[in-house]
Amino acid sequence: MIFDCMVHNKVDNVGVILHEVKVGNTICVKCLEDGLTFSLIANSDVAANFKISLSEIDTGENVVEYGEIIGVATKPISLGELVHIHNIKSLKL
Amino acid sequence: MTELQAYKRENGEFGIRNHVLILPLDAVSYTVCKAVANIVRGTTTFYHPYGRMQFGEDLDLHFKTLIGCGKNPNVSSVIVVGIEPEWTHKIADGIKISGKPVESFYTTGNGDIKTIEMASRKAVEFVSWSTTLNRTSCSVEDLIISIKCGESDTTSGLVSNPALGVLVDKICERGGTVLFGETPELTGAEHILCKHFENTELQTKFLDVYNAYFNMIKGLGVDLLGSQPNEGNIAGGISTIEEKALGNIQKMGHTKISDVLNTCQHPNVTGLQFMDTSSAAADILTAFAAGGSVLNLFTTGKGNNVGNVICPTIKICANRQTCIDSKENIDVDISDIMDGILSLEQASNRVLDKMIMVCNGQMSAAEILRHDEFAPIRLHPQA
Repeated sequence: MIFDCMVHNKVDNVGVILHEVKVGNTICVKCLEDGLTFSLIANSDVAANFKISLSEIDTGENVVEYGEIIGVATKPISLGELVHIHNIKSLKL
Repeated sequence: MTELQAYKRENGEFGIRNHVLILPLDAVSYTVCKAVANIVRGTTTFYHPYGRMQFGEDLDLHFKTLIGCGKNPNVSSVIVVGIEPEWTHKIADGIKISGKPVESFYTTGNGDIKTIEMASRKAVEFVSWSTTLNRTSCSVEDLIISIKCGESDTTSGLVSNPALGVLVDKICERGGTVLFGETPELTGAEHILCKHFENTELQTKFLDVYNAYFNMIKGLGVDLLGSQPNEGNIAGGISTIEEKALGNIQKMGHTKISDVLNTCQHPNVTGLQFMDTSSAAADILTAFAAGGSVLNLFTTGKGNNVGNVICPTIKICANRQTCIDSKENIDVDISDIMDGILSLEQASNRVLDKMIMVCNGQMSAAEILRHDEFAPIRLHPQA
């Protein structure tokens, strides 16, 4: 089966899109840690290699990838939305 | 499977190239080095802009960089060229400890043309001798290998770095030596890396190095976005330094880290080791070369085409578009892993196969395309 999105860890709230998806597309997601698969609807156009949210993320909430915190949301992020520098920032530098 | 043919040097170390190096101490002396390299076939030289008015730990690091690169087992013999005798002899004497042939020349009292003549006559002797040397059997475990990722994107953390991590584990399990660095690009993953050190003493030593960097940046109060992650990383889907670092450490595999090295320091033990370095590709490859690394395994996402004049680099890429756009720069295309066709294990074997070929003499993409970068790390301004 060809997947559209890979997730590093089961606690992650973002996944990596493998090839371009458009708003409304159903996305097949695979978690690399436990092998589980699920689907969600894209809420934005997302180019290959960019991240998509796997849940709603509130402003100030941690963004998690690799099972670790990669930053914090700077605005509300809906399920299936593009996650990048316009809506998250580093907590370190 | 890991047997290869390499040059055994006087001190017992193995190199995979056989350079007769014409080594400029400073920017000015490069003109003489370039002339010698033009006259004498089989010589190697490079430009760097430093070597004058440096002082303190910055000068010490410059000396370590040049001496280390001269001692690198990919170099058969060295001609050092400087302006005045004191520093020129200091570099030559440092390299001579390795046992290889070294001569030094300086332009004070000689001028360019006489220096070029003397250095060229000696270079002819060195090339004539060097080309009689034969390769002998050894294995991957006999080499000092280094790893680095550059112009990373999310495919780096997802595929190419984990595949390289599998290979690093294999090499280290067999008693090999692998160096990694990139102090700034551990930010956000330093707590995970800490658990990989063999003991708490090494862990503390690493944290001292890392915290010194982190506090320096914090003290400047700057926004690093655009530099860490850089514009290429951002275009590749990486949003924060934490995300970049968590992808970066995938290439260290699961091997315990056996030592913490200063910039340009030669390893004293085998196994996976951390060297305190910049994350800039040309700079870190130069530091690895000075530390004795004879081969660098380099993963890239959006395509960093860097090379090093002494330490060949093998480019590994899982981004299909980059493998198409920059085909001539990529040595190992593992983008089929994204389709589930290739496993991480198979990808690591593909890298190993290429590595053996490059070790045996096949030129890597960066060598063919003359990516002969040499970028000494600087610590502070000159006097």
